[in-house]
Amino acid sequence: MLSQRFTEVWVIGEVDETDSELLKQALTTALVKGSRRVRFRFYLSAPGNLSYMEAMRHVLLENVAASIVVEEKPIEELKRDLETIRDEIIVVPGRDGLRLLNDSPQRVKSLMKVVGR
Amino acid sequence: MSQEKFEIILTTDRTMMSNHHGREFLGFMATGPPIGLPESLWMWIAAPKMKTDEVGRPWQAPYALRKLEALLQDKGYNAAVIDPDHLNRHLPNAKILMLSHHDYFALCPPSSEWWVVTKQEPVNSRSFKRLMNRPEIAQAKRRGMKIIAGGPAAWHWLYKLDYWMKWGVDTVVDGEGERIVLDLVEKVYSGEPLPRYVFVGPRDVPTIEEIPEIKHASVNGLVEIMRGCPRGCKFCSVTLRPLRHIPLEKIEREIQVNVREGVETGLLHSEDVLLYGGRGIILNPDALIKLHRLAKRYWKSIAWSHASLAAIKNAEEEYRLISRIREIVCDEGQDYWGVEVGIETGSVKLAKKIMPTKSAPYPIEKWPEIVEDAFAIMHENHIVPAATLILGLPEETQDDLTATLELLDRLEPYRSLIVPMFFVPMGVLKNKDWFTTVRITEEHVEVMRKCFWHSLRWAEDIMDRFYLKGFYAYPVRLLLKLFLSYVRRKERVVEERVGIRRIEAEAVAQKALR
Repeated sequence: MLSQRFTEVWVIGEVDETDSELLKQALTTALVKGSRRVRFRFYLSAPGNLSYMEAMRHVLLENVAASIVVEEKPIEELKRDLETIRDEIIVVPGRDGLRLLNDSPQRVKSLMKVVGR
Repeated sequence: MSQEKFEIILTTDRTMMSNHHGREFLGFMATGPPIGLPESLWMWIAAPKMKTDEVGRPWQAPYALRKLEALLQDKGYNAAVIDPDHLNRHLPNAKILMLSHHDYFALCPPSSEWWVVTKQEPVNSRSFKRLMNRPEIAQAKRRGMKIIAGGPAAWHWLYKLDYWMKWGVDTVVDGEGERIVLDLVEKVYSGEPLPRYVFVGPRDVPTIEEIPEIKHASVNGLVEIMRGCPRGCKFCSVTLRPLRHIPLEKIEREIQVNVREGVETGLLHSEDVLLYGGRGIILNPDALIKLHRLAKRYWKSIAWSHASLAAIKNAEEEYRLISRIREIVCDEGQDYWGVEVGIETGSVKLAKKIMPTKSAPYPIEKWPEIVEDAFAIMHENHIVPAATLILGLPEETQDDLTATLELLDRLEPYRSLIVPMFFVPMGVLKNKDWFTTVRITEEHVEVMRKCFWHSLRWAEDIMDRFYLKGFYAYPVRLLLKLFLSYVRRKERVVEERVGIRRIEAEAVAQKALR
């Protein structure tokens, strides 16, 4: 299953339950494009802390259409990972997320579809 | 003594790793707190320990664990289902601990309901927490063992982030696990990080060919005959999965596994047994006759997991199918069989909103008549149903509850247990608010009371005439009778204290029993 093609949703910076709507919006964006496999990747300053699941809970409980995978990565790996993207990704900026993305090269920015704050 | 140790351990707590004295409905007692009895005695009735071999492999295990055990062994992994009392032997060596459960934290019905009503934590949740709090598991985690949790109650972990972090569960899997589990195991063995949560959507469920066959006995011989359901009820998560009928040859091989390991009774598992081999809701009598003849060739007795009331009515009225199945099933070794059925509501208005095709092929406007006709058919054919009602559905009104009360009156003469359950958001209703104690109305209380007295008066009949006959069942039957007597007294005390009128229908039902 994990070797299948997934639409990527990268959540950058911390999020909490109030950010649920943003995550739902990201999922809807993926579904509208016809995707039925979506990977949510959370870039966190403290991986292992599951507080972002408070926001993700509603997304997971309401979803019935798509396979969803939820991953965590340390925020330090964001820059390196951004340099490897080749296809469009959906980006949800958490706290400080927009600031972290500002320094990205134009090529990378052109591949990001940002779900707004 | 065998030195065999396993790298992948599949397990669950005692309330699940039990065959409930060969009576799976006794397992429902594990969804409640210990009322009127010490917990140890309650657990002995509901979930006695399972026999194991010298390395801790249980004689019978939950079917889902058996499926994954078979899958992993087929792929060459050193994996086994291990009884929870024998984990210590294997934990020091284990790379992965896989968990499954119907109700990890007692959030499902009816556990959540019993918890709200009694204010005591049900034993299933207590038992699971005891398992996970074992220092040996924490030790194994510190050594690097991964924990993967799945099963129908996987969603519980989303509400229990504190336990998720405390016990170091690495990944939670929600949905049919056959494809994703292999991916996760490969990641562990290659040292790659694991995802936190996986929901297996409709596109990633296994095909029939990808579904493995169990290699060892399942609890009370449970064998699946189908996956998915076409009815589309909004409160149900299973209906969201594609419909797949398991071929008879596969079913037979799994029955043979059970019989070879000494499990001579069985349970045909499906969301609606009567839809086996059919097209959508159109029944296939030939397939059902073949299925039951096959099962009866091997099993001394058969039970059904679930059937829909509309299919029961349709099966008998159009094909005389229930009577024909009874001729196959009932013999000197068996004079009844049990099944779980869903009434859900007696209100046509509410039924149209949440389950418009539950009544198919009949119109939903006929729902109360369908329910009563199906109950009559079951009563005549010695099928003993445990029926569910859902309280607190979204948009439920007082009129809906009144309609449910009227239907309950009509069902009094029919042998059955009827259990009301508080709404727990699942299926497409997963985003709805939970029903909590603050929303219980007088009408809800009246529904619960009617169900209580109905089930109490029929429970003794069922126990004595069908479910716990025979000398060997005497100790369990005695304890259950003491328990029923206790709750009958307690209920009357509660009713008198809060001023609820004692139900006159009890006298009517006593007449019906004579």
